[in-house]
Amino acid sequence: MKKDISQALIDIVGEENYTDEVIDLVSYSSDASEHRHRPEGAVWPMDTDQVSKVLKLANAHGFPVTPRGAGTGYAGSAVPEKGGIVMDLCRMNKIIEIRIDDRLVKVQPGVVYADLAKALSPHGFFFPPDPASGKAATLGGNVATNAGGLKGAKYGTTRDYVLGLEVVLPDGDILRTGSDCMKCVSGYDLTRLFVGSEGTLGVVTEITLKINPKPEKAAACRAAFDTIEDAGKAISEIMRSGIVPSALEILDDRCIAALNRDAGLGLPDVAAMVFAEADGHTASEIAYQLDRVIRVFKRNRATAIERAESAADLEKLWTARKSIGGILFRISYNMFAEDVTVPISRVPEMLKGIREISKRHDILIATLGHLGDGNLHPNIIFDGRDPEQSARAEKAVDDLFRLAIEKNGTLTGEHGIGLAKAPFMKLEHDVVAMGVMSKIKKLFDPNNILNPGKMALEV
Amino acid sequence: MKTGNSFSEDNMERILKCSECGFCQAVCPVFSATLRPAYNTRGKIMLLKEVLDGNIEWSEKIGETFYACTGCQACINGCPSNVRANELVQAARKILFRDGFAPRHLLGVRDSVCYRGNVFGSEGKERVEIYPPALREKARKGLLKERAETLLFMGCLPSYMDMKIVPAFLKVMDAAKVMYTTLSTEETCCGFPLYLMGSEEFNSHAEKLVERFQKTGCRELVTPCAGCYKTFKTLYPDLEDMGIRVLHSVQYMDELIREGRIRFTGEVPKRITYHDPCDLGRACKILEEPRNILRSIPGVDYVEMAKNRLEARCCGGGGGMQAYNPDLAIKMAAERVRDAFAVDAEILVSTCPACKDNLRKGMKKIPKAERRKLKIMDMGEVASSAL
Repeated sequence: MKKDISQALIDIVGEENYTDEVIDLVSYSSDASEHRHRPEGAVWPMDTDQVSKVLKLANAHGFPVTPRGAGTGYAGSAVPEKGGIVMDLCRMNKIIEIRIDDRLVKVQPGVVYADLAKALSPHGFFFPPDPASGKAATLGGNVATNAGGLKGAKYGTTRDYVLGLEVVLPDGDILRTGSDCMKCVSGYDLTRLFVGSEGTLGVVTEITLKINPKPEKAAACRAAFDTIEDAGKAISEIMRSGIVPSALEILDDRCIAALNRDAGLGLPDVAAMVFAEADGHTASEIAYQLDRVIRVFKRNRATAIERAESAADLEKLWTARKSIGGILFRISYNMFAEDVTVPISRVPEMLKGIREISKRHDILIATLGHLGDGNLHPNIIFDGRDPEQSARAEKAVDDLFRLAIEKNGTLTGEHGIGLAKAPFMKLEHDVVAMGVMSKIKKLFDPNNILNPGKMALEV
Repeated sequence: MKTGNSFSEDNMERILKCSECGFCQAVCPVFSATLRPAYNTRGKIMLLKEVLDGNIEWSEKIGETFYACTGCQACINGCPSNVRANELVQAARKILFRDGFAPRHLLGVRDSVCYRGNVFGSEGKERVEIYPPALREKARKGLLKERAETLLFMGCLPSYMDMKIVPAFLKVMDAAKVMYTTLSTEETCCGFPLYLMGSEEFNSHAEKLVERFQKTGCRELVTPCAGCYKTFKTLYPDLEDMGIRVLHSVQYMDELIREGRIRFTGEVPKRITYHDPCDLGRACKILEEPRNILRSIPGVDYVEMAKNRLEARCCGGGGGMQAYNPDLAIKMAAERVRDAFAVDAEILVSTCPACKDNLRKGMKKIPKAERRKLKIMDMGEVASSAL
């Protein structure tokens, strides 16, 4: 970092909120992905004004700024690929207001998802899109990646809850989008443009979120299937039945084997397990939904059907699903955690295709997924110390993306493009779409200072 | 990755197993107090990878992050990949200490422990000043029993700094008619601070103390200090193999209550909450005994803080943090005191003298307008007041 720049940054944020020490630069060199690049410095802005001044400075001097939340993303979106500075928003972590009557909250971007959940709980409300990393992930990160989670099928993703934003643009201007209203069609929907833009267009400094009353009750069941086809058919039938489960999850045999080995869960040795949860306000309403789900399971040759109604049983039943992320990582040393998504009806063929890719490249792929919205998580597990195995893993990823697009799907349902999927953007988006995206990027960020190198926006 | 940096295979495996998911950031008390990811467990492991890859040299500067750890093990409890990060921090500290990169101000503590036998650099003979008068006189004259079934080990903080822990502990032991002795003026620091700063001198220090234990012929060693307990139980040569049962005073008291050897006749009509010291709770899984004791005291209205047992929030005083960065330790303690405020507790009980000391400092740090009436006490104090 040049001395005059670092001094200018210190003048803006104060000495305690600026660093170019190696311990910080290393900690900001990566997120939960396999990508890595050190920045030259980092700032912890305390308010919107500081964000604005830092961006103005960066714009004038042309150094990159990579905004960052908790760094729990899998796509490398927060990795400062082109150096410059990381702008860590974790110190802007105030819940500004909770307005139950208006069904909204206003938060700063550094508020952790779980902290908002805790603050809303006494009011009987919640913010539904709950990423698996919700204990640590920030809401700014949720907005930047349009985070989803287990409950997407019933409750949608982050985008469906963002009513408005305060965003600092690269030239330092402060833009306010949306409104405090549940309905608003006034002008272009700039809010949606920023949700999922991965910090490439502006830095979000305040978020207005719609909140929902929290259903008081939930119950769940799980079932085992001897073939992926049967599981797939059961899922399609559930989605046709008129029931909207609050979660509908699948674990394949590789996941089941890993859980049995590492967590001693004693799950049946089958091709797939499906978990379904229903929530609502009365026990009978939930029982009705689960009865229907279980009928569908049975019609599709499910075995070992278990039902959980008490909170403790529910927790136990979900343990398998919730512990899978870490347990898969115990198998080897490296993992590409992918999130390809396809139209719901094409989930069975996608699952079959993933199996073929795994065989073709002789690489372990353990797949789980949120089936209610067609969002699959094929996890490609390998030992990065072995170059030959790493190359096969990369090839498997390549094939996986091609397969998803072939099935009319998308590269990413909830992790974002970042660095990991940037080389594949053109697979999904044609010249026209890529051109429009590049033009939008140029309109907001002509000097390309914000999170450069991401989303294949540079042409 | 180079392996010539005295990192064992087990530790290399631990580093590789870290998926850098960042979930530890949700529970790390040092991150919570500093909002600086370099101090979080993931930051430490990322740094280790770079050092072991040969991209960064060990230095005093990078040592900063490894000493900024309270050893609370909350990250291990919440780690999906089951990475035992405390072992990694310890391995890094050993190298830093060996290569002369340990924070200089910790070396004063090292000298105090090695040359004076306690962390404060006080005189050994002052250890018995805190004993009740009759016992003190005996101790001064060297008339304490040389051999006894039960050896009480007070710890440095209770011996030199805290006015109440030792008298209360002895009052309970006397009430139960326990036949005990102490090491009197010959008691020394357990050596935990040496271990925590990464000094190999810990081993020889431990050997000397074990000899003293053996001289007393004791079959059980009881201490009111969570740090000493964890040290004897998990870091010393196996004392159980030598026929010495190691117990924290709360385990011992819990047994005495169940055997009917102590009875609480007095009342403590207060709303009390319990802070699990990391060295006792997460590290040694002693979770229910302290709660049993409090529930058996008449009048106690026991209340649990939101973060308790394995999820308890660290007070910030462990892992050598009080010596390394007292301001940061106190900042963390204030957060724990706020947890006790949130459940309207009147007494916050701990079973670790370092926690008690740090929590009291944390309380003072909270602005007056926000502060509530809250007493911070050791378990022995509460128990002895109900006898």
